[in-house]
Amino acid sequence: MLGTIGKPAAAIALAIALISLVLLALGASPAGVFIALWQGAFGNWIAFTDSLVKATPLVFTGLAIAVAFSAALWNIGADGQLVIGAIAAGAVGPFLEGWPRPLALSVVLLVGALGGAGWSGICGYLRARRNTNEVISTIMLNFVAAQILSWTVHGPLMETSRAYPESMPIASSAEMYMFAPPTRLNAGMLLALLLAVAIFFFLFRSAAGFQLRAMGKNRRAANFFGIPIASITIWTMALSGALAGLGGAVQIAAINHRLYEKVSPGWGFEAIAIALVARLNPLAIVAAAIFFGALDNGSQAMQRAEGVSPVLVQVIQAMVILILLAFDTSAWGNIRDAIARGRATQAPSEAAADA
Amino acid sequence: MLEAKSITRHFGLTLALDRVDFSARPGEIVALLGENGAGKTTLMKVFTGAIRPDAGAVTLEGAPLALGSPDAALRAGIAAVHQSPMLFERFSWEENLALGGFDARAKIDLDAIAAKARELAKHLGFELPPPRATIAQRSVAERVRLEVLRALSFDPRVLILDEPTGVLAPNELNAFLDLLRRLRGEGRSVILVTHKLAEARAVADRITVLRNGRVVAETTPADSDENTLARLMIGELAPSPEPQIHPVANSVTRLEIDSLSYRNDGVMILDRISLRLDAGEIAGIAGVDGNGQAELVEILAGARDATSGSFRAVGADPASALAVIPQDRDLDGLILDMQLWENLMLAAPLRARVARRGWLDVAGANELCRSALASFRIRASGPDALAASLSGGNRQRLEVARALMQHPRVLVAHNVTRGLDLAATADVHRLLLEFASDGGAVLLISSDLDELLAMTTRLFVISRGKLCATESSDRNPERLGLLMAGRWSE
Repeated sequence: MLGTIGKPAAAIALAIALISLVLLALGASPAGVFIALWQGAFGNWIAFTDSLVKATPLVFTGLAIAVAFSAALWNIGADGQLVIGAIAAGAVGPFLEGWPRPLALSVVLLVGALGGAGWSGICGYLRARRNTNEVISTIMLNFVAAQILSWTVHGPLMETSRAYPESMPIASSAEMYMFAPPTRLNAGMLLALLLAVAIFFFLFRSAAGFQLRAMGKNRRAANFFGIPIASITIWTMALSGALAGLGGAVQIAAINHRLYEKVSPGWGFEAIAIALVARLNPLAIVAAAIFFGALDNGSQAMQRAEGVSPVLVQVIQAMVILILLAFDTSAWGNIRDAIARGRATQAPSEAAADA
Repeated sequence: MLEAKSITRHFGLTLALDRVDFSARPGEIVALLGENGAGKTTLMKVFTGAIRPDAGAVTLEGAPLALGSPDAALRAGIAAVHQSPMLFERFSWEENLALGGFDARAKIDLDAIAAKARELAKHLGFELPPPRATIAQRSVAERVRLEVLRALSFDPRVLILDEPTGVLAPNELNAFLDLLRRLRGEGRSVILVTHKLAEARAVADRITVLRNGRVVAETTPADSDENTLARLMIGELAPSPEPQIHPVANSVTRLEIDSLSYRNDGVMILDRISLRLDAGEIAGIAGVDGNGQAELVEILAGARDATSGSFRAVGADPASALAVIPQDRDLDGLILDMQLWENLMLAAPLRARVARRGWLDVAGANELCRSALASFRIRASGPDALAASLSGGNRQRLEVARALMQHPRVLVAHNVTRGLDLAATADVHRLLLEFASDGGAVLLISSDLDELLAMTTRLFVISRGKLCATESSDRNPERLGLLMAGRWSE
C-alpha cells in the first residue's frame, strides 16, 4: 500500500527537481512557475473545478485502457472510440428537445457508450476470430474516427445555416446536470467516480473480472482451465470502447454541447500513461487523471504569470511518467532487499530455514 | 580447473548460497546433487554470469572470472544447458544455433551452421529436426538436445548441464550419459546438476551435495550409496511410503475414451485412442515427450477439440468429474504473478463454490486457500502470496490440491513429478494413491518409467499418437524403451 503511494510521490518529487534545473537554465524562477502552476490548477474554486472538468475525460479513457490492458488486450484506440461516442451523442442530442432530462441524458450517454463499444468491438471481433493484432486495428480506427467526425460536421450533421463546420446544438434537455454555475462542475465527474468504483469491483471481485484478469496474466493457463478466450476478448474490447465512448458523450453533454471538427486533444493516448502510472487500478486512475488534468489546467496560468510555454507541462508530464516507470524497476526491490538483509544478518539461521 | 571460493548470495531474506566452495577439474564429471531450492541452479548461474554473488570468487585455470557477466563467462569457456530450454520459440533451430558459437562472422550462413551442427550431432549420436523447423513445434527432448548442441558449439572448457535428463527417455539416457563420458575424454570439465541419485552415481567422478545453500558433502560414487546421498540431500530421510497398488474395488467405469483422434495441419497427432479407466485404478501412459501426450491432456481438459472420437468422465456432476494437472506448471498450470487463492479460482468448480451471483467471495476464497495450504502442507506465507514465490514442489502441491479439491472422479496428471525433489515426489505420489484408494481413477501420463512402474496397475505406451496396452511381461525399462521408440513388434 505504501509502495503505491510512495513511488509516485517520489517520482513527482524527482521530476520537480529535474524540471527546476531546466527552468533555471531557461532563466525562469522554478518557485514562481510551480506556484503559478499550483494556483492555476487548485488556487481558487473556479480553477479547482476546472481541473476536475479537465480530468473527467481522462478518467473515462483511463478506465477504458485499464479494462483492456488487464486482459492483455492493447487497446490503443480509446481516442477513436471516444470520438465515435461523441459523434453518436452529438447526432442524437439535437432531436431530444422536450424529453424529460433524465431520459434525454440517458439516451445521449447510452448511444455514446454503444458507439464506442461498436467501434472497439470491431477490433475485439477481429482479434478473437481472425487473430488480427488489436494494436494495429485500434490505431488505424483512430484515424478513421477522426475523419468520420470531420466528414459529419462538414456533411450530414452540419448546422442548418451551413456556415460553420459544426453540428446543431444538442437539446437543452440532454445537457448534463451542472452543480455550481458559473463553474463547469458537472455530473460527468460523479459518473466517472461511480464507474471507477464499479470497474474496481468488477475487475477484482467478480467472477467475470477474474476470468478477464486471468486471461491477461497467462493466456495459456486461462485457456487450459476453460476460460472462454474468444468471447472475453470481444466483450472486454466492447466494454473498453463503451467507457471511452461514454467519455465522449459526457464531453458533448456537459461541455461542448455540439460537435466540432475536433473533440479530443489526445485523451485516449494520455489515458495510456495515466492507466500505467496507476498500475491499471481503477481507483488510482481517478487520482492520476486529476493530477494530469490539473497539470493541463494549471499550464495556462503558468504561461500568464511566468511567460513559460504551456508546452513545458507536457515535458513535466513526460518526465513524471518516465521517472515513475524507471522507479518501477528492481532498483526499489534492491533497496528493500538490502534493508531486509540488514535485519536478516541478525538472525541468519532463521533466514536459512526459510529457504 | 574451475574453482569457486566462498560464494554467498541472498535473494531478499533467503540465503540461497552460503559460503559455497566448489571445484571441477579438466577431464572430470562432477555431479552437483541437491533438492529443489538447495541452491544448485543459483550456483550454476554464478558460473555462467547470470547472477552476481554477494561475496566470493571464481577462478578458471587460475585466472579470476569476471562475475555477473554472461559474456565473460562464455569467453572464458563456460557454457551451460539450462533447466528449462532457453530457445527462441518462433525461430528455426538453425537460427537458434546461429546464436551459438558455430559461426562468428557478421553474415549468418544458416546452411553452413546446419552442416556443422549435423556433423557434431552425428558425432554425438543425435538426430536433428528437419531443415528450418521452428522450435515451437519441437518436443522438450529435442529442445534439450539442441541446447546441448548450442552449448558445445562454443567448444567450452567447462560444460554445465542443469537437470538435463528429466526429459529424456530411458534409451536416450544411456546415450546421453555416454556423451558426457566422451566429453570428459576430450578433457573438458562436465558439471551435471541433478537430484537423481542413480545417474549421479553412474556417471560422476565426484559428487558435491548441496543442502539449503551449503555444501554438506564432497564424496565419490565409490564412497557413497544412494541411501547416504539421499540422507545428505534431504537432511533426514523423508518418510516415503512404498507405493502400494490398490486392487480394483469394484469395476465401475470412471473414464471412457473412445477412438479419439486429433489432426493438426494434416499431421496425425492422436490416432484413434481408446481407453477405459475403472474406479480405484491408476493407469499409466508412458512415452517420450512430443508423441501426442500434451494434446491428449489438452483435449481431456477441454482446452482443445478432438478431430473425431469422444470421451466421457462418469461422476455425479459432469462439470467437475474430471480434473487435469498439466505438465508445465509455470505455463499451463499456474498464473505465477497471481495470488495463491486466485490460482485456485482458475478451476471453474472451485470458482463456482465461492461465487454468489457472479461475485467472488474473496474472504471465502482465502479461507478455502488457507485450508488447502494446511491440508496439503504447502509452504507459503499465505493465500495472498504470489504463486511465483513458491518453490517447484509447493507449486506442484498447489496444483494437486486444486485438482483434488474439485472432488473429481477422474484425475489426469501429466509429468506430475517432473523436476520435484524426493520428498515432494513422495508426497504427490501419496496423494494420487489416496485418491485412487478412495474410488477415484488416475490417468498418469509420464516420461518417467520408474514412476510409472511403481505407481500403475496398467500401463500403456504412446508413440507417434498411437496407444498400445502393455503385457505384464513388458514391465521392464528395456522392453518399454523399445515400445516408446515405436518398435512394437520386436
